[in-house]
Amino acid sequence: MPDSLILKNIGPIREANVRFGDLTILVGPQATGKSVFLQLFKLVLDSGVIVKYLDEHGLNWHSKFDEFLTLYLGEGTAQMWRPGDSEILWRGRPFDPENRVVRGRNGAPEKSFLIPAQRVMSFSRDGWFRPFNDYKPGDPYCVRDFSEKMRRLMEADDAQSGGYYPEDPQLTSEVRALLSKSIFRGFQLELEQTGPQKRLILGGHGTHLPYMVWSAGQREFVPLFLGFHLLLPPVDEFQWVLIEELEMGLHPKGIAAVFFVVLMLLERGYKVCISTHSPSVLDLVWAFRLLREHHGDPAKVLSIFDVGQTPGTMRIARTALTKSAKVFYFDPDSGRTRDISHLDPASPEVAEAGWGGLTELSGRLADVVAETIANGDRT
Amino acid sequence: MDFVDAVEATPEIREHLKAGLQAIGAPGRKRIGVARASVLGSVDMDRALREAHPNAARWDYVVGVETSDDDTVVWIEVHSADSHHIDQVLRKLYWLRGWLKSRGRPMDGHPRRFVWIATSRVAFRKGSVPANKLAQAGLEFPVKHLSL
Repeated sequence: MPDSLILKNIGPIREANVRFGDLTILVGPQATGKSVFLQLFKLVLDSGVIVKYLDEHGLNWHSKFDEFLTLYLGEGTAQMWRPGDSEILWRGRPFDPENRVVRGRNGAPEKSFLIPAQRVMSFSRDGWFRPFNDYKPGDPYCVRDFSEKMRRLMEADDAQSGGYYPEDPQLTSEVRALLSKSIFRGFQLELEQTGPQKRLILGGHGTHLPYMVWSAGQREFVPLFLGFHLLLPPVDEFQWVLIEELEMGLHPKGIAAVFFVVLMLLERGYKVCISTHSPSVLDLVWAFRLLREHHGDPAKVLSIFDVGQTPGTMRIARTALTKSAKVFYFDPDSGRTRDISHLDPASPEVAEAGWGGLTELSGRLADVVAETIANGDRT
Repeated sequence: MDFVDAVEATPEIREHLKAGLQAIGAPGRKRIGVARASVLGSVDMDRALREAHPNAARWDYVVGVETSDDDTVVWIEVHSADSHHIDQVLRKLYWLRGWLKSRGRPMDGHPRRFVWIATSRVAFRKGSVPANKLAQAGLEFPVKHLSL
């Protein structure tokens, strides 16, 4: 049975029907349900772990699903689930979240790792990740969970103060160079320890920048980067990586660099599902589809990212050309998803040609400019 | 001056005016649908101008379409739409626009569209640099099927 998830009548979603590829991209305007979709996907995969974790932290929902939703999706979301009307099907079979939550914990390992859109909030002003219980009960579980996972990862890490962080052999020198060039701009992430207190700083160019003076893009990127650090070894239990708004705070060059790390995740055997508002992400998916269909050269793949050819990077590029990619548009008018994976720029389907609305404005601008210029110099 | 009058006033093409879409070769014609407009006639520009301008980057076709306000002239190029064909098609467009200001002047007055019908997969998207290059020259984004 293929990996497919159907959500019906949940929050803004009337029917989301997503058949996953190795890489799956979700696009659509704000408040169309992409984030809800990803969080409920994690619930489907990991309900036992989530229930157990909430329970261990003293959070109780009194066997009521609406109270559970407040803890899981966050305050104000309890009405998203409409009993008798809302429905979830995973791999074609009904998944009853009310029953799962009441039934409680099970021993299944955690299958997914979700990097939330609000990842910037997982950092405290001291340059360290906040623990799970530092949040309020109405804060989304996925933010708290990500934050706690990152905190544990860094506390368990025995990296020495003053060194490059993370000292990750999985992050090859080519990828380090790519991230440095595209995002860190010559700065490097360092672990600093003053007495008992550890914190992350950005060092380089003779400076020493604590968290509060990082740029918005650096604040957004560092949690994502450390999430990748956790996943790259790779982690046996996780099969799925779910990333909300991959592009947050990044210039298109930075987006391309991060996309290369996504290719590394695919090469490690993860399935990846991403929500995005970035046409650059779809540009990359579109190009990969065509390269795959036309037996593209892995060296050409590396040239897209300006990454050098080594046995490791060539393996990543070769693997990327074997992976399937799917793209789904969350249509705000119908509340349904549409499969726009073909990404044909000349498609008569506006949603597909406009890549789920991401290029709609620029396309409309070009149409108006073309019409004006065609007629501007008539005799 | 309506479309037919304009063609007949243009010596280099007047002998090549055909009814409906008859001037359009099969690869182009099968990609054009007529739904809302009434077609006034068509000219195979490439053939019409071959003798007078043998070395020019000649445009393919022109079609006259009747609308409620005025006749619209639709200049059609049928061409593959890989990104490396963009400069080739733009060269043809620039040549056509130069011709409209000289020998083709009677055809220069109507509201018009410059349209690229793609005979292959379109290899660039709206909003991309290549697409903006077309728009800046007055050429619409390539279509696989033109609806008149």
